[in-house]
Amino acid sequence: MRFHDFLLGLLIMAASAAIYFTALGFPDQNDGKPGAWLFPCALSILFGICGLCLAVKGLMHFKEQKLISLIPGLTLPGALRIAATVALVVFYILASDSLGFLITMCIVIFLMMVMMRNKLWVSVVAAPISTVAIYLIFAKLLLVPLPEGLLSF
Amino acid sequence: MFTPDLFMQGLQLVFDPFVLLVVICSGLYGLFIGAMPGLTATMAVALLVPITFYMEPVPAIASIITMSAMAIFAGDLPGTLLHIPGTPSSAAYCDDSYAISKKGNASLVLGIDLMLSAMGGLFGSLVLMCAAPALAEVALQFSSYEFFWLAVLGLSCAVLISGRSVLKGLISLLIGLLLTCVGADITLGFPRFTFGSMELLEGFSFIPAMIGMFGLAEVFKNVSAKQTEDAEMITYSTRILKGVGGVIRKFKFQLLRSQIIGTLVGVLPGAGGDIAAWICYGVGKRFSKHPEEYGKGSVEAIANCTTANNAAISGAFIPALVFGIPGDSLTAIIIGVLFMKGLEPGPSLFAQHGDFLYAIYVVFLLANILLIPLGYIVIRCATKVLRVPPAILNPVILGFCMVGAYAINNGAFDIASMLGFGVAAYFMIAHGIPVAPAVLGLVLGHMLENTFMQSMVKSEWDPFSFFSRPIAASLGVITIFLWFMPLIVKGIKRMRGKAAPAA
Repeated sequence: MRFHDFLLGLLIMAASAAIYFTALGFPDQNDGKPGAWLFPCALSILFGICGLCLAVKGLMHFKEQKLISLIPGLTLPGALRIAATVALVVFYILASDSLGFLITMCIVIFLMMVMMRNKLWVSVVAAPISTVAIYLIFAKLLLVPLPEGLLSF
Repeated sequence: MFTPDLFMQGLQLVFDPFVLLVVICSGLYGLFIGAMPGLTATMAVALLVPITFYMEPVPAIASIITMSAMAIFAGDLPGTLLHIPGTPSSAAYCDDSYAISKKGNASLVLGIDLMLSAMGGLFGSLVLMCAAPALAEVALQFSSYEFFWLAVLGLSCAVLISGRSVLKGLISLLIGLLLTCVGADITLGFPRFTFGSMELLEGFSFIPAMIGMFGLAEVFKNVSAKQTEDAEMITYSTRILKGVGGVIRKFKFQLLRSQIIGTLVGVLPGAGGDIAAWICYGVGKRFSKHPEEYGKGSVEAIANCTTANNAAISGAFIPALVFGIPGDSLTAIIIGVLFMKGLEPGPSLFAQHGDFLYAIYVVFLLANILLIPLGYIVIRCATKVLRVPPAILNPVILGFCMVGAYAINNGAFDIASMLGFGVAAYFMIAHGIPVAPAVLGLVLGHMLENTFMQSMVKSEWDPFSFFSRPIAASLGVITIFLWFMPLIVKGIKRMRGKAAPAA
């Protein structure tokens, strides 16, 4: 999804207002001089001005773009593949503790390989091999404690 | 000032069997990633960082330097043989390389790419060795005022040269700076924008952010791209060095000019090998005896650009090591790694860790010399390397992204953070907002706030104190001039436009 510059400018202004008002609640220094709020407030004001400029610029070229459109060059299947990739990462975050690294990662890589239209037998062979390779590099060579899950014995 | 003792200590640090093994492995990794279209050198570094996390500082930095030098060269291979640049740094002369290859002279192009990439890298390394210590001596006199202006100057450069729209570059920078506000503040340790989360108290971890912005965002781009048929690969002879000497002799002055420009462009914050190659392409064409050949198969264009993009890598290290200001996205990641290793880049690094710095110089020289044999091997088996299907590679890269992010704190929060940064970077690119200024903002945000607050507290909140010292005042004036430069350029263009019809 791609927003028109006018809409993007408005979103930036809204975000900057939210940041500004949250930052106003941050305290001063102990001697009463500006403290934790100063930097985020200053940045959010600049951010808001940039949003305003972008919105005005967008308004001047309003007819050149749709308000919300698909990203140029991105097809619907392409967008779905991105969404599926995000879903696979979320699945890994949620399932890796209980299922363990080896099983979860193998599922994620296998599904992504199938999604990328590899032949099924290629995915069946390549997914476990690459999972074990990643496991050996990180768990055995670099001693990263990857979640063991169902395979903890 | 060259110090033989420190040079010997640097040599000892580098010529350790483990460091040499790391250099060779990362060199081969860089050659592979650089040769794969769609995988950039910055992405390769982002994926390498979690592994360097577990190494001593010298092998960690050595692996990144070697990998980058090799990847920038290897990006030329698919450009020459398939007409697809392997990295953005090879895009400027891709048409020329492919045109000559189609005429049956691919081996000459590959030979020029290999030898002149190594020469460009060596030239940049020598400049780094000479310029960095001299600048560091000056920088030792700097206080928070000078460092504040340096950070502002670096960030301003990054915005101005980041892309077509200065406004979108500035938005990107502010996103990066605002993200550094998350976590405990420097004055009171007050938790800002943490929303009660303990994980956010120390702010966003740098490595998951980099992996997300450069690794995951690339995966999104690749998985959403249309599946294309394999491009026809050009066959070539492996006698690649034949004729290269003649090209070097013929264009020696142009090559020197490109190496100087490449190194200087590398020094500018926000500009890396890709911009260096484009500038040298433009300058080369402007002064060439045969500008009409540019774009249609000019050996001169290839020679100029391929040497410039490698020189830029070393150039980018000058501000990074001396001032802690990254020259490009790649050095931004390296600065993050140095901080992780407890080595704060800046003039104190030169005073306290001279042996480490000389080790960096030695690694630069070694990496560019090693480029010749390793690059030769990769050229010999390029037809096989370039046939590794992206449909297998991208799922594996996704796996590395997730484990790499996890490895920093052994927690799922960093994977979620990586995902957030990846999605954000993808949307930024889709909206024409460049990512590089945000990365520089993320790296320099703390330095900017620290130096600003220190200076204000020191001067009892007198804003004119930022102009109270000669170097600080000069840097301040240059920075402010830079801010108004787009308006001045616009004004001059408008005046010329008015004057032309009158004439």
